[in-house]
Amino acid sequence: VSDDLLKRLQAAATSDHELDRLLLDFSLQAAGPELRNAVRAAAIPHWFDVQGLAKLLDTSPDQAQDLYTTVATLPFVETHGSLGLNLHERTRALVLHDLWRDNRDIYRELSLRTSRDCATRNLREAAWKIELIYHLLVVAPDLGVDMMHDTGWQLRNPPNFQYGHVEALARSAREHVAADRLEGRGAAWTCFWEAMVHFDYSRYLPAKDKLQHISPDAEGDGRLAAERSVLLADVNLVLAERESARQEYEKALAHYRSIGDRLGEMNCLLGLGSTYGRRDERQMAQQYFEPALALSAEIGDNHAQAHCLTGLGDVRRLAGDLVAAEQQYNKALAIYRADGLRLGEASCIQRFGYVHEARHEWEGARSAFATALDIYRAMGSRVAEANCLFSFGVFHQNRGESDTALAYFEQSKLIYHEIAAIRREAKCDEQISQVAARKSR
Amino acid sequence: MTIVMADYHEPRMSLDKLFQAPCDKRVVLLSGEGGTGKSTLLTYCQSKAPSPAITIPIQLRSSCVGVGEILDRIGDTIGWEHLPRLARRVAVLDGTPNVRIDRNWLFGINNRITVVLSAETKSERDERLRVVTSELFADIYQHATLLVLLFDTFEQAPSEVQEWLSGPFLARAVRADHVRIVIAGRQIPPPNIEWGKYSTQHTLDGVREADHWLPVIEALGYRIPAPEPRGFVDGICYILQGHPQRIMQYIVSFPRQAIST
Repeated sequence: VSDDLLKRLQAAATSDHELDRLLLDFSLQAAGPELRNAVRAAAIPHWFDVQGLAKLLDTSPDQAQDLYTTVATLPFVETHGSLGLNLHERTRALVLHDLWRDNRDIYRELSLRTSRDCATRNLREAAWKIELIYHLLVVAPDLGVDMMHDTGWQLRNPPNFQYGHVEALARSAREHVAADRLEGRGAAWTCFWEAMVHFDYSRYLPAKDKLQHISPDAEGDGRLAAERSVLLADVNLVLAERESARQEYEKALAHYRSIGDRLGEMNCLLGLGSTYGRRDERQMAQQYFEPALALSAEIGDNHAQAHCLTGLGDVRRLAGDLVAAEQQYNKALAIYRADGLRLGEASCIQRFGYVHEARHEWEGARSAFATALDIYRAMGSRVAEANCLFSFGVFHQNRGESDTALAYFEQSKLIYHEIAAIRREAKCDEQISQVAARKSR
Repeated sequence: MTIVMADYHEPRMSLDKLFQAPCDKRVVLLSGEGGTGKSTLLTYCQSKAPSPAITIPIQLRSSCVGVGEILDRIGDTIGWEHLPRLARRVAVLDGTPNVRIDRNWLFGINNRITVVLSAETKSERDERLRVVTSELFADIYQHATLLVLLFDTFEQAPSEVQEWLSGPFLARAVRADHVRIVIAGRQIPPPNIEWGKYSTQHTLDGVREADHWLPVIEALGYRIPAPEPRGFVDGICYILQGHPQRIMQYIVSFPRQAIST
C-alpha cells in the first residue's frame, strides 16, 4: 500500500497542479460529499465567514456553522484577518482552475451567490465593493466592467485619492485575466487600471506599456478608447513626448464627441490647447482654449476655466501682449485662490514671473519664481518643482549668471531623472552644455 | 499555545533571539513560496513573545489593508493614550489642530488617518506618511513595553504599504530597542543601508529530513501507513521536496493512531 501511495505521488510530481490535485484528494479522502462540496464552494470568494458559506451552499446558517467549523480544520485553510477564513492560495487556484475548466455554469452560479452576499455587506468598505466587482466580472462581465469603471474613478478622484484601493481593484481583475476567466473588454479595462496605478506611482514607462496592451479598437468600447488616449497623452506629456500627446488628445476628442461626453470633450480641448501651447503654436492653442473655456463655463467646472484662462494668458504673453496676459492670469488666480487650489495658484505666480522677466523686472521675476517653487515643494509636485527650477535656470542664464544657472539646471535634471522624464532630462543636459560652453569662452 | 512544526531550526533561532537580550537583529525577514511555512513561523513567534509584550499580527493579504488600517490597529492594541503625538498630528493634518482628542474623536481615527494620508501626488502622500510615521515612533520610543509587529503576505500589500514598510517604517522601527518586526512573504523588503544591519533574512525552501517530520506526525496523532515508517516519510519528503503544506496535506490522509485505554 505504501509503495503504491509513493508511486502515485511520484507520478503526479511532474506538474504542480497534478501534485496539488492528488494531495487535495488525499486530504479530503475521509470527507463526505457535503464537505467536498463546501470546499469547492469556499474557493470562489477570497474569504468567507459563516454567512458567506451559507449563501454559497444555499443552506441555513446553522448547517453552515457546522461545515465552517470543519472546514477551518483542513490543512489548506487559513484565517483571513477578521473577515473569516480562506483557502490557501495554491489550493484555491487549483479548485478554481478545475471548476472553470469542467463546469463553468456551476462556477458562475457560485460566484452569483457570493455577489449577492457581498451586496448585503457594507459596500462603503472598499474590500466588499472590490469583492462584489470581482464576482460580477465573471457573472455579468459588462455590468462588472461598468462597476469597475465607476468604482475605480470614485476611489481615485478627489477627495478620496485611494490609490491603494484602485490597485486592489486592478489586482483582483488581473486574477481573472491571468486564469483566462476574463477577456475582451474586461481584460482591456484591467490593463487601463493597472496603467493608472503605475501613473499614480510615477512609473510612467510601465504605464505606457500597459496602455499599449489595449487593442487599437479598445474592444469596441468608445469610453475605453477615449480614456486610454487621455491617459496615454498624460503619460506622453510627463515624458515630454508632445507630438504623441497631441495625437492622443485628438483621438480622445473624437471618441468623446462620438459618445456625447461633454466633460471628456472639454478636457481634451484643454489638453490640446496646452499641448499646442507647449509647442509654441499660439494660434492653434487659442483655437482649442477658447471652446474649452466656453464649455467649462457651461459645465460649471471652475478648475478647467482657470486652466483655460492660464492657457489663453500664455498665448497672449508669447505674442508679446503682456497686459492682456496679466489680465487672464489674474482671473485664473482668483479662481484658484477661491477654490483653495494651491498648485494652480503657484502656476499663476510662476507665470507672473515670466511677465516680470519679459519686462526686465528682475527682482519681481525672482520673487515670483521663489514663491511658486515654495508652494510646489510644499505640495510635493515634483514635475512642477522641476519645471520651476528649470525656469529659474533660464532666468539666471539670461542674466549671464552661469554658476547659478548651472546649479538650477542640475537640480531640475535630478528630478526629471527620478521621474523618468527622459526628454526633459535631455533638455536640461542641452542647457547645461550651453551654459558650460559660454562659461568656458 | 503549542505550535507543531517541523524543523526550520535557523529561522526559529532568529525568532527566539528576538526575545533575548541584547538583541541587535530586531528585524526578521522570512521569504518563501506559498505553503513553505511562513505563516506557521509567524504563529510560532507570536507564541514565544514573553509577557507583557504587545504582539500585533497584521495580515496584508486582505486587499484593502492600507497604512491607515495598520496605524489604527497599532493604536487600538497599544492604546491611543500611548500615541498622543500621532493622534495630534492626525488632527493637525485633518485641519482641526485644536480638537479635543477623546473617545468620540478616536472612534473614527481609521478614516481620519486614511483621509489625511490621501493626497493627489505621490510626493505629497510620501511626505505625509513620513510625518505621521515620525510621530508614531516618537510615541513608541516613549513606550517601554516590548512591541512585536508581525506582517504576513508582504507581496500582496498595496505598493504604498510595501514602500512605507520598506522605507520610513523600518528605518524608524530599528531605532527603538524594544520594537521587533517580522515580515514574511513570497517577496520581502530588500534590506537597505538604514535598517539592513539590524535584520536577518531566511529563505524557506522546505523541510526535507524525515527525522523532523516523524515527531510532528506523532504529535498530531497519525499513524504512518507503512512497514518502514522512516523510509516512507523519506520518500514523501523527497517527492514533495520538503514542502510543508503539501506534506501536511498528505499527513492528514494517514490513519489515526489507536487511542490506548
